[in-house]
Amino acid sequence: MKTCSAIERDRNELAAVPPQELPGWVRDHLTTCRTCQRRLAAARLALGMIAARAGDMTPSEGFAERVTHALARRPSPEVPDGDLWKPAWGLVPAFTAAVITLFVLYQTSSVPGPTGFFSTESLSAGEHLVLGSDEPETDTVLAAVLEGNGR
Amino acid sequence: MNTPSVGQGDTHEGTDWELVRRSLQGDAAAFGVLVRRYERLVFHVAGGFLRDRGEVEDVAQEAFLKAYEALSRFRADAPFGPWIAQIATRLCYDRLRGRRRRQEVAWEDLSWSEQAAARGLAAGGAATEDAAASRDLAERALATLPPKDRQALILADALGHTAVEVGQMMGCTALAVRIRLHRARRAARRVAERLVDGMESAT
Repeated sequence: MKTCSAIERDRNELAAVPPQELPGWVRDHLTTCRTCQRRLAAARLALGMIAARAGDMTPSEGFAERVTHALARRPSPEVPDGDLWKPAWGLVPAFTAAVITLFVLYQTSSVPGPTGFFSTESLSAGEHLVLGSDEPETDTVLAAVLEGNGR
Repeated sequence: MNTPSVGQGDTHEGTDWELVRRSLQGDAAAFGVLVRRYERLVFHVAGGFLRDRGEVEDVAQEAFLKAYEALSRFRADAPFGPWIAQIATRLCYDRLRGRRRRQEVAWEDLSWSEQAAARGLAAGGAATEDAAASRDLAERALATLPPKDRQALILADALGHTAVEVGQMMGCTALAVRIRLHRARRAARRVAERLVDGMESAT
């Protein structure tokens, strides 16, 4: 029936309307149609239960004061990490300047730079490729000069 | 029933973010303003999950205390309402974990006052006529719904929040909320139809 389908379609809206304020055609139909009566009653009950379940959950008197009182016994909230790092960012220019100064001093210094981490021999591919050798011993040099092999 | 705000508060006492900044600087009174601003919202959220008023109050207080401890993680551009609502929601989940969902309630299982409340509601009466009995009835009948579905239903249909707002409070998308709402409304209607059938066969 057309009226039944219209009530079924709009039943949530109709359920929210007090029975005495329902449109005339709905009231007329409900007097004769038991199915629609049942549907509308169920929709009203569902809506009513949802509203009742939400209830009147309002905070009790003095709730905020009790919370702030409880806060007094707790440690202060953590300071955000960002705030802690703010002074550290100020050190970045000083650190950069120090690195540049050391680099310039190193470049202009007469002190020889550091030797490599590995000996030259250890870097050679084979026994015929020797890119460097240890310094000669003083005794070896003297012996070579005195014995005439040092020409 | 007035719907508590979930958005960025901005009154003469300062915006949410200003109050958070002052709280972080040790101004406990500033946090007190935030508590007063959002206490109703937190009670509504917790009340949707939990029935016992004492338990709701415990959760609400715990939510504010946890929020205070975690204030440094609050983002400046975020509204405080959904944030505190999510904290309360998580606390409710923790409490409900392990509790078994109740079996569907039949008409014969209801007390006399609950049956009277059901008759009144089905006839179009207000839930406030016998508020305690209506609430007991609703608690028993809707206890079969999954807690998240029930929460979405209460926040949207009883308290008038939009799907977007409910999503912010529950920590999910508006689409997920709409799906939950659809499922929850259908389940609530089915429970109500069964009770109406029982009511009719009893008379």
